[in-house]
Amino acid sequence: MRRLAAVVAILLLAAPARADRPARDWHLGLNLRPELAVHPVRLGGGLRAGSVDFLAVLDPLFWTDGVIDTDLVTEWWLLRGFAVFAGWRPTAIDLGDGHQIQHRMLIGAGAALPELPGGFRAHVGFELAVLLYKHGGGLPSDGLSFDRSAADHISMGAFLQVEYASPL
Amino acid sequence: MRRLCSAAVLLAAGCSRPDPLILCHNANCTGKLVVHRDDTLEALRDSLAVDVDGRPAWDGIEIDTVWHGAQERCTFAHQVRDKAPDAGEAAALIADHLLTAETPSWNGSLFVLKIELKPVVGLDLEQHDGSQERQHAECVLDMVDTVQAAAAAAGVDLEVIADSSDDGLLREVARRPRWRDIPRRRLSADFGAPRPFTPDTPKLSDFAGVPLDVIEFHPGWLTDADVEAFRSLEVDFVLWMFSATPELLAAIRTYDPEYVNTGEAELMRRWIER
Repeated sequence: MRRLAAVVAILLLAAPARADRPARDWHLGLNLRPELAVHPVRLGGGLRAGSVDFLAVLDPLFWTDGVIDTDLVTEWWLLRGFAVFAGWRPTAIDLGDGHQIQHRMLIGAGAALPELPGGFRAHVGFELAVLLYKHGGGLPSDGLSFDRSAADHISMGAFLQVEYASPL
Repeated sequence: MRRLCSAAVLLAAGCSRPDPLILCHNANCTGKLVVHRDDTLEALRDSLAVDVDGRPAWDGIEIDTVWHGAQERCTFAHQVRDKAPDAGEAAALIADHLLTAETPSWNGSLFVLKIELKPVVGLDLEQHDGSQERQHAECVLDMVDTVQAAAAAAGVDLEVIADSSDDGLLREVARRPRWRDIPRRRLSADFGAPRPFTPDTPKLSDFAGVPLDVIEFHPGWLTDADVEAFRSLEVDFVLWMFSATPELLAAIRTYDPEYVNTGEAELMRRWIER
């Protein structure tokens, strides 16, 4: 609930993105997270074409705990400065002699923050992640459950993406 | 700890790995989360066989007990169930394991028997009356006697954790001389999802005066303030979970619990030992 309130507050403060943004650009930056679901600092980048943004977020902190989260996301900037997104997050958990792979569906919404100088920009987002399936590592495969254990299969997260963008 | 480790990237510092004792959640830790198998003899038998590198993946087993009010008997179950086996049958299976297993647990010398006393005695969520509390506590101590005798015969150290979200049940266990005679014993308060999601989740103040050694909680369901309140009691933590997700693995590194109570014992063991 606190995370939700924080995200709502940020969204209310969000400013519309500038209208003179180029139709296409590439961008690369940091994806920062406050919660435990993924590492707090990851590298995110992608290509924006018109109102659609294709993003990949990579996890350089896998060495800290053997957990690697990678996001592949498509974001639609539907309103001026506001977006919705959907994506896929495969997570690999190191088990020494193999990995368990967990697949999550991502859905969420984001908002642009005021433009930063020097070609930098930032936006915030709120996501819902649903664990759909896990397999590998010689362990039993398992899918989304519809009983009390489903509570661990659904999580919420928020992020701040700060990135450099350049026209294509 | 996960965030601390991440900060270590900048500080060029290392970080230690967690080393909790792993408990088999609801006597059902074969890795596939089928909750209707929780606290069944079939799942307990299968869980006793879960191994990593020829050793049990876990350091102990959690057994849930329910006092069935209508049938006036102590059952091995997760909730009131008419056909649930007597709790003594679960104790007998564990005793047999201790007597026959080459290695009783992952660590090789200590076996943790965690017995949860469920607060509900009927299908309409009725709570224990005084007589039922006493009978439930006696039932748990009978189970301990069975397992303790086997552990002594097998030369295994036994740690007993009596766990409940009902402070009255813990008080009833703690006041019995048989409890105080257990050399290695711990009392644990159990916190599930917050109200109103779980109506019988206790308040910490309910346990005032109970000599708690341990608090069990799900790290995703409580506030930081709750956890800080637990810390102030200087008790050990049990983290419980349904599914071993990255959030839960990060929580293990954050809270550094003494115990992790999981249905995925093999995954947890291999992740810790990787």
